[in-house]
Order: sequence, then C-alpha cells, then structure tokens
Amino acid sequence: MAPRQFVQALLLSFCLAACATTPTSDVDAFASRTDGNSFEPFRGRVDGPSALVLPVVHDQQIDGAACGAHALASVVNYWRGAGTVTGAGIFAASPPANAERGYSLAEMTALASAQGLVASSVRLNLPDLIRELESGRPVLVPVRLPSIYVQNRSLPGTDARPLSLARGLVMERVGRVSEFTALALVDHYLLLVGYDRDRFVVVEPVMGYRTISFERLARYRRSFDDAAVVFSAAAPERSTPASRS
Amino acid sequence: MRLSLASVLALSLAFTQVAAPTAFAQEPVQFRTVAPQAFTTEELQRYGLSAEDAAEVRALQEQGYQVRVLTPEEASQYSAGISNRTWWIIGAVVVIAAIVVAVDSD
Repeated sequence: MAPRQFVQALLLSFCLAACATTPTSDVDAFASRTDGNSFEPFRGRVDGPSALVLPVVHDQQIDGAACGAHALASVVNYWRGAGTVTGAGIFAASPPANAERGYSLAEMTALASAQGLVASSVRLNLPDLIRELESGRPVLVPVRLPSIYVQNRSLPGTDARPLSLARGLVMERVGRVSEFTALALVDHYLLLVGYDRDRFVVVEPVMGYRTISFERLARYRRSFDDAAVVFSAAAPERSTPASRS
Repeated sequence: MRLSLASVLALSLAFTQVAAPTAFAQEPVQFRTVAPQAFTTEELQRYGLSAEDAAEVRALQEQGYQVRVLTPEEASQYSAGISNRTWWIIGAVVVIAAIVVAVDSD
C-alpha cells in the first residue's frame, strides 16, 4: 500500500470510528454540555441551579429490543447502588416475551419487582411527573418517536456548533415528516430524571442524558395515552393512611 | 506529499473530533437535586400498590388526584423497544444517503 493510500485509509478509519455517537453517561458529563444530543435543535441547554437533575447513571443500550432492560438497570442502580445490575444482564436473563415489540409495561413492573423495587403502571400528566421528580423518583415513560432521534451513529464533526445546528434542523424536519406520515416511528422508553422551566432531562437508553421540551414529550407520549411507570424503594411498613389537608 | 480533496476533507473531519468537544464545552452547570424518597402510604394507594382494592384508589381519585392506574390488560398491551429490524432499516437509510452524496460529489 502506497503511503498516500495508507494515510487516506487511516484518516477514513478515524472518521468512521468517530461516527459513533458519544453518549452522555452521567450527570457530571451532562453538566459540561447540557445541549449535547438534545432532542431540540435550539434551546436544548439547561441553565442555572433551578433545574432539578437526579444523579442517574446511564446504562447503554446495545441490543435492539433491550431499551426497557437498560432503562430499568439505570433505575435499579439509582435506588440500590451503582453496579447492582446491568441492562445486558437483565436482557439475557429475562428477554421480552415479544422480541419484536420489546418489553411491555407489565413486564417492566414485574422485572422491577424482581429487582426489589416497588413499581406501578399508571397514567401521569405533567404536574404528576414533576411531583415524582421532586420526590427524587425517576419516572419511566414509553414514547413513540421518529427513529432518526435514536441513531447510534452520526456524521463525524457534528458535535461542532455549526454542524450540530445544521444536523438538528435536518433531524427536526425529517422527524416532523416522520410524525406526519407515521413512517419510521419507533416505540422506545425514556427515563425522566429532571426538569427545568420548559423541558425535561431524560436518560435515553442509546445516547444517555438528553433534553426534551415538555411539548415534544407530550406529543411523543400521546400514543401511549400518558402511560408511565413509577418506581420506589421497598414500601415502608403499612400504617393508617395519612389524612389529606 | 500532495493530498487529494478527499484526504483534506477527511483530515479536517478527523480534526473536528479532537477539537470540537473541547471548543464547545460549556462551564459545568450546577443542578439542584433531591434525596430519593420511597412511596408514602398515600402514594402507594394512589398508584394501586397497597393491599387495598381498586375502590380505594378510585376514592382517592374522587378527592382530586389525576393519576389513573393502568389495568393489567393495558399494561400488557403497551410495549416499547427498537427491534433489530428497525436498526437495519435505519442503517440502510444512512448507507443509501452516503452513497447518494458520494455519487453526487463525483
């Protein structure tokens, strides 16, 4: 191989390797670049100490139908300590009954119970979601969204500001067409871990910490009629119900 | 050594991989956080998790709660996950787009 071809091959392989998107795996990495990987082409950044973000550690999805397992691993490790389980372990031990459709909410709550958590499938509106977060409890929500938002590959260089804006605009347009035509939509799980004035912070199984506006998340949740899974550590001893004021 | 346009492009893209994360990193943001709290007895009831029956949950809803517990049938029906077939479709679209761009640039 001639030196020139070698250099070209080397550069090309470097670029291809760099095409893998870099997930934002923990809250410290997210604090350094809050608009990285955002669902929003503009105003994806979280500013100021008023934003609430729970310190959940991302467990990266590597298999197709395993998003529920990886999201659940993040929840279990949040409640029971880092490294308690992995999504890959949950998926290997308890794959979804329907490998094409992924985990159902019923399967998710059963798996959470098996991991020592208390979980329930409910319908939550925006204030309810915020109330859960303010109680220090991440919430899992199923969403139907354009598949372009959950790629694990991107063009090299798109982390750079001008390119990331261009990419965001293209993705926004493609996503809108996808929503309008109902083509290339995928069902996915997002773990809500924080919020600020008009957007949520989510841990998405493929790319980790991302921001998404209240309005966009409501749109993506519509297909599931605002379904959600709430989690908690083991229940306290049952006592007389507290009266409401 | 003279470099072709493709080499220069590859070199510049490779450079952005190194330079961009540093150049566009923001000052770390301080967030608010709260300690995780287990469900209270009231919340257990609201989410249909207590030993009491669904009537008790309904009673709480009548007192103003917006939460509705999914039935077992609904919980089984709702599922989410990207199948491997979806990944292949996404990959195919990316490959086709790359080929189109490459052909156009020739």
